[in-house]
Amino acid sequence: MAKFWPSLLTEFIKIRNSFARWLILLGGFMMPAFVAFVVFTKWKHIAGEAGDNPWGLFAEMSWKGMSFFYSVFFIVLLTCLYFNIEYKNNTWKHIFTLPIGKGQVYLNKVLSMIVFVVCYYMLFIPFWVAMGYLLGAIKPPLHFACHAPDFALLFRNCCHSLISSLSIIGIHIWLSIRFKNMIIPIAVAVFCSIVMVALFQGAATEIKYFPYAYHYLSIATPYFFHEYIWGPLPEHEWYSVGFFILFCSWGYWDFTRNFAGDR
Amino acid sequence: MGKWVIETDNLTFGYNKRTTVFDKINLRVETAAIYGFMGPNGAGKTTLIRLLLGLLPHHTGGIMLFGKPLKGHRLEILSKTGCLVEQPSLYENLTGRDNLSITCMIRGLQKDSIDRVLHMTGLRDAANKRVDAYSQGMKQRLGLAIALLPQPELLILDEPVNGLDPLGIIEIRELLIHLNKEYGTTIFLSSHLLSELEKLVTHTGILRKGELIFQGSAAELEAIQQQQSTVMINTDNNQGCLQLLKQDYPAVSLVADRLHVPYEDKETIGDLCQRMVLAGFRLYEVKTGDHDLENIFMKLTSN
Repeated sequence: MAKFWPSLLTEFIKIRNSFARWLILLGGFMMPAFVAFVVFTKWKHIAGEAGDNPWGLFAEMSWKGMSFFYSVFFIVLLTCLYFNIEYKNNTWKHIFTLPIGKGQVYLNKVLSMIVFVVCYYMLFIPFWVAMGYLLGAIKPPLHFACHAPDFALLFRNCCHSLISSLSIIGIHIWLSIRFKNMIIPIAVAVFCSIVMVALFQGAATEIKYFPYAYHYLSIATPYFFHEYIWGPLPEHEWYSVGFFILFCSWGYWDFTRNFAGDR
Repeated sequence: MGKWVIETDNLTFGYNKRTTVFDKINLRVETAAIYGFMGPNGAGKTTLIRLLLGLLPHHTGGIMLFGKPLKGHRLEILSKTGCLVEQPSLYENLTGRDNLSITCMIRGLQKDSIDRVLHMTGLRDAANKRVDAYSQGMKQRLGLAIALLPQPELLILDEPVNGLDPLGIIEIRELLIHLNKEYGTTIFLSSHLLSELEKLVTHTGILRKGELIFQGSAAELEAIQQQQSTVMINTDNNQGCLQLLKQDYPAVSLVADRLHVPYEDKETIGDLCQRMVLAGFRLYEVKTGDHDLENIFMKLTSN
């Protein structure tokens, strides 16, 4: 336990000067910037549609954009880049010759990934609010400056999105450790996203068992979709937690028993 | 701690069930020795080093380090061991100091260890440069610095002078000798630079096709070297000398206009020379050939 915090901190040092760190920053910035650009170019139409308080529509546009593909691919890409640091630099063998248990190494990786995704949402909030006020300053008729954003909704959406992300984090940590080639986990994500679209188009209620759809299900409810609310979370978010535990346990077992780095 | 820092007991390993990289290796590395591990490419040197560090699972036979089995004491053993396996494992997006910090934090060492190893390896001026801007030699030095961070009792180095310039090779050699003499650090190293190993090691192991064909001290190796070497003599009449010596030394031969006599001891050489001079022959040249580590290595590892 004495080495727990120092060894965890090394994971944050490792992403210095790497694209993984820039991706976290860009990930939080890109969607608010893109939605702000759309609002800016179609402001007359949006001002009419949004009514007096534009923050609700701005939030809906941003969250729907975030949840359909954006966050999924952000997490997939970040996981690939983060784990590729060890493969690219041939450092697995160095890690395994240090006096630190494999279980601890795996736990550090999982915790770091969760922290990175939390950072992504934490960066998204100020960027999103700043973009709203910037739009208000540039286009006063949108009335952004006259109202305040719904911070409670923003925080709630972030929490639900984060819980929905857990399943993909678990799956892609295992894939990124198992496959040195980054293309494989990305290809899996592309294929699963196509399946997700097909499930939506087919109005399949089984979509609640499909982790790649959880982000969207946390933000919007399709017309065909019904689920129970169990305690504080909807059904699919419990499944997301379940998938996370399942894949992390499987990954832990595989990593500590079979994984020997890049031989 | 016992006599042996590294001890393997009938160690057998193969990457799959059909192939065997090496079979029943009994390696013995004494405390405070500098053990040079040699073998042609593909002999299994790096594989053995990886096994000693617990990087490869599924072997048969025992591996003991510091008198304790690797299985079950891995972390304790690794805390006393520094290593450099093949190419140095470095985070190229980070500076040299950051790379050292990572190892330092995981090992729970004081930050001043970083400056100590930077000084030892001559990297102080480049410590804050990103590793992707380092030359191959600098990366090798940084890899060595990482291995030296915990002031290890055992250093396992796979090709430690790869990519270093002649001055760098001399510096690293002197550093290793210093660590061994001053701190009693046991050093187990493999290298293809046999001339370098010759200047450094106190013990040698030679691996060929997965078999440890020689293991012993430098004195034992020297004895074999002498047994295997040849004395070459050139006189004003080599044919006449051959006739003279053939009666008492049937192994004498004439090869490429030189007399070749298998080396036995220095007294025999003196006796040979005296006989030739007393018989009226003039000696132009007497020299021993095939007397270095490279030639003994070639002889031992050739088919």
